[in-house]
Amino acid sequence: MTTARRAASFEEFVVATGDRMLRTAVLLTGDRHAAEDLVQSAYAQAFARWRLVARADNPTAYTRAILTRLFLSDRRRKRVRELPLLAGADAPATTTDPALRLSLVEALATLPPTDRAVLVLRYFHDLPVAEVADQVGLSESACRTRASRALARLRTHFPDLADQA
Amino acid sequence: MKLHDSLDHAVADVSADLPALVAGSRRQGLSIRRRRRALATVGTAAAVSVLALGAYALVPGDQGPSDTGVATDIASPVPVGALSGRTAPITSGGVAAALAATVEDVADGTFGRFQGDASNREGSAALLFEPENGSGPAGQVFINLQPLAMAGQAPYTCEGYLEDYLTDCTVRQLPNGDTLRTYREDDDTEVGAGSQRVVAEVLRPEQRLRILVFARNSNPWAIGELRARPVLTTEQLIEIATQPWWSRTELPVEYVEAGNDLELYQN
Repeated sequence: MTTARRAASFEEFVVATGDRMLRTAVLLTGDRHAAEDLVQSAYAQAFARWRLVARADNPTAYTRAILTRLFLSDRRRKRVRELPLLAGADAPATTTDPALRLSLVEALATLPPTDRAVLVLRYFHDLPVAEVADQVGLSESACRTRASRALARLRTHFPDLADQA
Repeated sequence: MKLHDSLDHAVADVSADLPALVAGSRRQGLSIRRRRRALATVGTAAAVSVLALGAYALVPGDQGPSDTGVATDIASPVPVGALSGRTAPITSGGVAAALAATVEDVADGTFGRFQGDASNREGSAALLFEPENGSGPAGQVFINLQPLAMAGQAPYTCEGYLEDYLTDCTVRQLPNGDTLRTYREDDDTEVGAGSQRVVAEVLRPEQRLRILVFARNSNPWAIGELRARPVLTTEQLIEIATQPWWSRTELPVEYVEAGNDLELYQN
């Protein structure tokens, strides 16, 4: 496989997964610009070891694990501000309930990073507890405890979540 | 609305500028690769002393610099492209380049002091690797490509194989018929108290090949200085050791070609 083909393959991968990855990052960071940095850093690491990533059973999961690790370890050493990754990022929200949307992201941002990651991986990506625990470096029981505690905190802002999570 | 739906809803209109993301990631990823390949200052001032690592180990040279251990600049010690499947006869530089490439695949950091040897239908290579995380001197990563007989007779187990100072031995059969054995060694008497070495060993009967890869928390040019842990984990060593193309006689042509340009540290 040539370098050009590898690059094209990487491009296809980013195009197929970029939106979802960025949404994950927004939920994790609570900040658009930080999310942009995080996603680009994660894809950059994936590109740097693309042979390994492309060979993985699930390259998307592999890259999401990189992103989660970067978020948790706060290894982002520099911000890359030159790329406006969010199309229409400054445009007004189009949801019917913008207040709720904004508040949920903000409420997530009040949680400790690990709790945030647990909730996002568990409930946004619907990953099994064992996989979430593995990605955030917790035991399964600790992961369940974290999820329960984080949900309880979210419920203080959104009581409606109480019976819905 | 369940939490899943609420979260989905909260970021529903978030979308990436994908062309910019691709370009930015590639650019940043290439920068990471360049940084990895830059030969870094590794080790610290230390007298160069010959450190016996066993009959098959490479040792520090007695002609090399005894100061900060900065190697000469090498732009690209490993090939950028994926492997073509073609092979070429093994070379000293090729083994070193292959080791560097596989380490690069599993860890972020900088490299230096490449050593290699390919003779008598055996190969070995060593390099210094300084991970991005943590602190301390660079650690040595080493590979031996030996006849299977060096591992003793099958069945390959931990019993009777380990000396008292080797611990945490595990053995398992791989789907392709290879045997994977891992273990660790603490407080190597020749390196000193606090030293650690983790080892992954693949025993490949089909090729009559023993692949032994290890990583240290120290290096022979910085005697007495130790990292908290070896520079690669057992899992990373396994990833390196289980590559299907390792051989005592030939290597992927890309590594052999890269090895031609690799300046080996004098040994």
